[in-house]
Amino acid sequence: MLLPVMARISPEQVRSEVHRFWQVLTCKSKDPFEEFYSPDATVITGKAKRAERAQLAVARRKREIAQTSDASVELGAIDVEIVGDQVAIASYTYNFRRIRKRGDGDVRRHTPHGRATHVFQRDAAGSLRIAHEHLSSAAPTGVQPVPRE
Amino acid sequence: MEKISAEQVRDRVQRFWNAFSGKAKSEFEDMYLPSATVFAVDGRRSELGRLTVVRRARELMSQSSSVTARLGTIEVQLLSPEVAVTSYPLHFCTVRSMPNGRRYRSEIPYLRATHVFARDGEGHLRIIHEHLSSAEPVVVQELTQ
Repeated sequence: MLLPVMARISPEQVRSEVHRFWQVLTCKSKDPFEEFYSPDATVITGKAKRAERAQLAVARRKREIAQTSDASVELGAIDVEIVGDQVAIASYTYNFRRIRKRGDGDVRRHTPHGRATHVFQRDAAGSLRIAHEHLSSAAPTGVQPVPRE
Repeated sequence: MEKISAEQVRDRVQRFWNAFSGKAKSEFEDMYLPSATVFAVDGRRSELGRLTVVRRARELMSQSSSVTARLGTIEVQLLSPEVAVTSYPLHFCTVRSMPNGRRYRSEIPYLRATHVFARDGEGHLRIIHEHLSSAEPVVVQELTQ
């Protein structure tokens, strides 16, 4: 079988995917969140004690996005390492703020020292998909109720 | 070049922690590619692997330091003939000796590790990226003796 010749992954492509990912997480874009991940992707995030399947993390995040009234992120410099023709690694820091609507009042979460690793892999159609994600924080995430007016 | 196997990768992970806890500095340093980047457990940004190695050798591989690691199940994803990602939990305990003589103990029951391995020019699997984090805030205790 002949496979299409694909151009080498460029750092700009990878950075663009990272920015698109955060556009969705901060509710600035309605791109389908699940399409960022390969079917076998794994994710380490939050207080999880081990990696989980991305499908589970995606389902949880979609609920969180639906409950978010305001969110913003500042990304640090995105280091990109291209490994061979099919894989790229992005690592960077982030400062993430989010207000989540809850029945008993809104809650503000702030992750000032987030650290991210995204391992991207080309799929058969040539698109970059996240094969592995590790999001963590160098300092505890701040959680505060938002005072009611 | 032969394809990477999941067993090869698990063996490399085990050797990494054996070298770390056994204070085998040269073998430990050799686990990383020159361009490797690392998010240490408490690091606010990534750094070059060679800097991480120097600091770990100084603080965690001296005579009065110690490292113990009990690994959980190692998940392996083979992404291409030359790249594999591993992710796994571990129980991690260290005694760190600082240049001023002070010693600090930390126990991290829920450390999460990501190691991305790539083949070097000679076909050896080496770490190109590492991300360590704790699922819970890390408690550090100064040792008096």
